[in-house]
Formats: sequence, structure tokens, C-alpha cells
Amino acid sequence: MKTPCHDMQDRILEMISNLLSPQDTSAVIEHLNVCEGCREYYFALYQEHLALAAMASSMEETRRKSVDQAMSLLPEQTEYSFWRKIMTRKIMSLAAAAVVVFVIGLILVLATRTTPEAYALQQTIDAIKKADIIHILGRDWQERKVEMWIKMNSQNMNIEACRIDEPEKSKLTVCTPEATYIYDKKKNQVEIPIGTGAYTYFSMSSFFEYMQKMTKDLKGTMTSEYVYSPDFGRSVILVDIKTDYFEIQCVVDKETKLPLRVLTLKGPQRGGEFELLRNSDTITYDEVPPAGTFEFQLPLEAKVIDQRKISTTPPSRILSPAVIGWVLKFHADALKNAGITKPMFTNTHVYIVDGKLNLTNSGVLVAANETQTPLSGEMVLSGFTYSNVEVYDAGGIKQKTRLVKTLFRENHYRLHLTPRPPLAPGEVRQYLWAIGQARTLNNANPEKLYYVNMQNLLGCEGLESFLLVVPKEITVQMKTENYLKCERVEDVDIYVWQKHVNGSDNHETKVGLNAENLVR
Amino acid sequence: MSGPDEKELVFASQRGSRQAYSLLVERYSRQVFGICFGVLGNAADAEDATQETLIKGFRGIGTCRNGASFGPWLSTVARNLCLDLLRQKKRHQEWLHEQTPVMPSAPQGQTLDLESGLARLPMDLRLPLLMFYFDGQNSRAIAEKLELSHTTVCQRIKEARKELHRLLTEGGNS
Repeated sequence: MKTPCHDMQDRILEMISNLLSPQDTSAVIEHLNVCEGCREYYFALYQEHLALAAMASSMEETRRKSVDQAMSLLPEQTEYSFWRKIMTRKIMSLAAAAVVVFVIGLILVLATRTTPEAYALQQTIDAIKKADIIHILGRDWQERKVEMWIKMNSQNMNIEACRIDEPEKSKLTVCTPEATYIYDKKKNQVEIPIGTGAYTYFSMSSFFEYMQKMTKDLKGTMTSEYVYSPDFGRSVILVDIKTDYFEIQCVVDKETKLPLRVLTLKGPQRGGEFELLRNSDTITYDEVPPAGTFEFQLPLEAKVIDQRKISTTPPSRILSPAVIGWVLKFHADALKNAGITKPMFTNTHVYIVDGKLNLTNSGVLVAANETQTPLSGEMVLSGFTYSNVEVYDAGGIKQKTRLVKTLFRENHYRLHLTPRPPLAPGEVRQYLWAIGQARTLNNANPEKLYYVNMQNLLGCEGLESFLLVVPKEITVQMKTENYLKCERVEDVDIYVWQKHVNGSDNHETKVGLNAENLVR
Repeated sequence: MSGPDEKELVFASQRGSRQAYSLLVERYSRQVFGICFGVLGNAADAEDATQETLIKGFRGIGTCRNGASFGPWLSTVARNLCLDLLRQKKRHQEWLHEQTPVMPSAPQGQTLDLESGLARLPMDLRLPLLMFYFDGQNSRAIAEKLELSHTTVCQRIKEARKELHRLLTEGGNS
């Protein structure tokens, strides 16, 4: 091996480690073009750089194992109650508050009846099971109106969807199986918090069990009597409960056993289950809700804060170099095969689902040097509608890129890439691009599947492939189009869909993923 | 950083939420693993130390007074824990009357593999180098986490690469 120039060694080291300015980098590259000793030194260091990056990538599993083991060994915190878990999100606090209040009423009413408790409780459980829709008109602690629609899933006793309108706070919350939308009318701003919908947060049966325990633990006093209610125009059961924690008055229908009104006379105004809804003045069941009650239409020009979009780890951390290599080779083969009969545009989109069910959009791009000299400067490659694209080579190494906004075209950027090492004459190099954000998938649907929609309008004739990369524990349970093949590479399965599209084809494939076996 | 606010996650963790803590872990476990590997010099010890740091972090999160600086706080937990482990290891070796270094030199003329080469780097060079590769390759962020100047971190990464190259090509027989 020839010796590198003494004064260039540090600069080459800095360039390899991305510590050099663009101007100095250009000067070093110019020198590399003329000095064999330095070039050899550079390539040796570059190989070490690749090896270090590959090692970091291969350690990902070790790190994940440490994390999983640590999480499984965390001590239980007994003071962290069931309430707190439910009340973590305001939306559910409100939904839960209403239902809790009436459930408290229910249990207390039933406990004070002369008929046997177990029998009465069962009657009520049956009655609630028959209710599909619950409509509450109530007030918060500042006497502001709260209207709530709750759609129950009669199969599993969970809340399927709910709508909470707080007109005096200019606030509307709609919780659907897909997402929760919190709309601030004054700011014209919609917040979509992270996590799944109401579906997974609320279990009526758990509430019954917990409420029974709580009533017992609080050692409250209960009185109940049959009274004629002028408001309701009939005889009802009036129940009063007093504990150190809260005082509730509850009106229960004698015939149906369903609560008609629940008033909180005393209770914690903040941080508890009574915070957002103090009184449920009117509770009705199976009233037909206005059309669109459980849907959310994005208001015109509203600002959307979608917290489901989370920062993602770079694909090199999700995908090992072997997987990135497989994807890039797949594209190279597709390119070769597509050109057998006649040259054809080839496009490969990659959908990466990681072990935390975060979905990253990704794809393959190609840099080709059709000149007679090595190319070391910045090249202009694909256009993107994302402003945060990252590019990786076959070794999983993040490439030096910048995105330049396209003039006269909204939300469009051109990717500028500086190839490292320089592209040799005639060399065709494949890169994996990925947007720098991921979206968390959710399974808030009755099938409990994580749906991924793969779609692209190529706009010209071509061979288009969708690759779906998932941890091997995840299976494709539903698909709108049969996949061509599925291959396992290390710990992931790569599903391939391929279609010969013409200019107007909108290639779209929907899959439902089953992640029951995924340990998270 | 998008997603739930870090302060809220810290407060929820202090109230015992394992779910909130798992989100913090998701953000910082790479940093922790990089530090553990950087200080201890081998992946097996780093795996155990990462696990212990994360458990210790949850137990002691009540002492993290300012929720927004959870990252530096957890880094300190990881570093102290690893340094304790190194001290224990040293005491253990002294007890065994072992005079040989942790990683013996490669035989004359034989080169080292990457992990052995890394293990033989001095800790102050190895730590920033591994953080560079494990935690997003951002020298400024590393400087902040190690409470060093950016220039110092760049210099150490460069020195580490130079020394590693020497170890890998010459086998470390200087």
C-alpha cells in the first residue's frame, strides 16, 4: 500500500466522518483524483466506516433485547391506579366520567334494592348490553354545557365511538375507531393525538368490577327510595351516595333499570373522573343520532397537529444492510427484467413496518454516471413531495443530501445527492430513500388488523413494485391483490406486489396485518 | 421532537406509568446503548448495562427534577453505572492477581477484528466514536450529551478513527 500524504490524512479522516465543510470536501476529492496513496487510504477508511455502520446496525437487535428485557423487569407501581390509566387522555376522561358516573349510580341503586343484588346487577348488565347509543346532556363544574354521544359495541361492551361537544369552550371532540380528533373552533385547529381510538380504552366489564371494589373500599353510605319525579312524570328510584370522596344523587328508571340522571353533589373538580362532566342532567338510550355524529369532517383551512406522525429511526436502524441490499438488488433485477422485451420505466416503492408498528414510506432511486470521468459532485435526482427525505446506500450508510424546493410547484422538492465514494464512469448505483417520519399504525377496528394502503400513480407505462417489509412475526391476513412472492431476509419478511401499469393506472393495494404474535 | 411532550412523559413515569416510560426509552435507548458500549467496550456488557440503566432509570425517575432534561439525566445514570462496573471489574481482576490487560495484544503481524479493535481504544476516544455510529452520527448532539466542546468531540472522533485504523491494519503492536 502506498503511503498517504501526511498533511492530507486528517482531512480525509474528517471527510469520512462528515466533519468537513463542503468546500474542503471538494478540495480533498480533487486531491484524491490525483494521488493514489491518499485514494487507497480513503478507500480503506471508507471500508472501516461501512463496517462500523454495519456493526451499529447489527447491534440493533442487541439493543432491542436489552430494552425489552428491561421493560419486562420494571417494578409494578401499585399507587398507579386503574383510574389514572383511564384518565390519561382528556377525551377518555370525559367519556369515562359520564359512564362512570352512571355506573356508580347503577351499582349503588342495585345494591340498595330489596331484590337480591346479583339478580338486579344482572338485569342492569343486560339492559346496558341492549343499549347501542347513549346520549347525555350535562354540565361541567363551571356549569358549561356538555353534550355527549356514545356508541357502544354491544359485542364487547367497549365504546366504539363518541362525540363530545363543549360549545362554550368552542371545543369538539370526535373519537372514531381510526383516530381521535380534538377541534378547537376558536383557533381553527385540529389535534389528532397519538394512540388508538376509544375502542381499546374502555371496558365496561372492567368498570363494573372496579366500581364494585371502589364502593366497598370507600365505605360510603347509601340510601334509596321510590319517589314520584315530576321531571320524569313517573315513579323512579332515587339513590343518594355519600363518601369522603364524592356525593352522588342518581335517578334510575324503575322498569328498565337504566340511569336517567346523575348529579355530582361533591367530588374532586380536578384530576379525577368528575373533572369534565359534573352532572348528567338527561341520559337517553338508543336515540337516533344526527347523521355524521360519529364522523369528523376536517374544517376548511384548519391547522392539523397530527401527533400520530412521529419521528422515526432511520431505516438503517430498522433494516439491516442485508435487507437494504436485498431491496436494492430486487430493484436492479426488476430493471433488468423490465428491459428484456423493451425498455420500461421501473419503480419500486417500499413500505417498512417496524417492530413498534410504525410505517415508513420508502423507495429505490438510481444514480448513474454516463460520463467518462468519475463524478464526485452534487447530482440532482428524483423529485419528492416530502421535505425530509433521507437516502442510504447498500451498506445502510446515510448519504449526504439536500432537498431544494422546486420553483412554481407547491410542496415539491428536488433531491441533490453527493455520491460517496465518487461514481465511477459507467457505474449505476442504487440507493434507498425514506421519508424522515413514520406514522403509527393502529388496529382500532373490529378485525383488529393494522391496515396499510400502498398506492402510486406512476403517470407513464412501467413496471411498478410495492415491497412490504414487516417483522417476521407479522402476517398478511387480508389483501386486495395477491402478492407475487414473500421472502424472509434475516428477521423480516418482504412481500412483493408487482404490476405492469400504463400511464393512467392508479396502482393501489390494501393489506391488513395481523400482529398478534409480535412481542412489543 | 414530535409526539407526546417529554416533560409530560417524565411526570407520568414519575407517577408510575410504564407506558410513558417506554416512550422515553424508545427515544433514548440508542443513546444509552451507545454510551454503555462506548464505556465498556464490548457488546455483551453493554447489553446488560443498558438493561440495568433502563431499570435504574425507572426506579430513580423521581430524582429527575426537570422533566425536560431527561436525556442528559439518563446519560449520567448510564455513564455512572458503567464506570462502577469497570471499577468492579478492575477490583475483581486485582483480587485475582491478574496483571494482564483486559484485551491482550494481537500476536505480532496479526490484525484485530473490529470489535477487538474498538475494545482496545481508550475510553475517551471510543465513547464519542460509538455514540457517533449508534446515535444518529451527529457530533454536535454528542458534544452536548458528553458536556464537551464540539471541537473536542470532532477531534476525538478523528483520533479514534486514526487509532482504530492503526489497530486494524497493524494489529496494535506499537
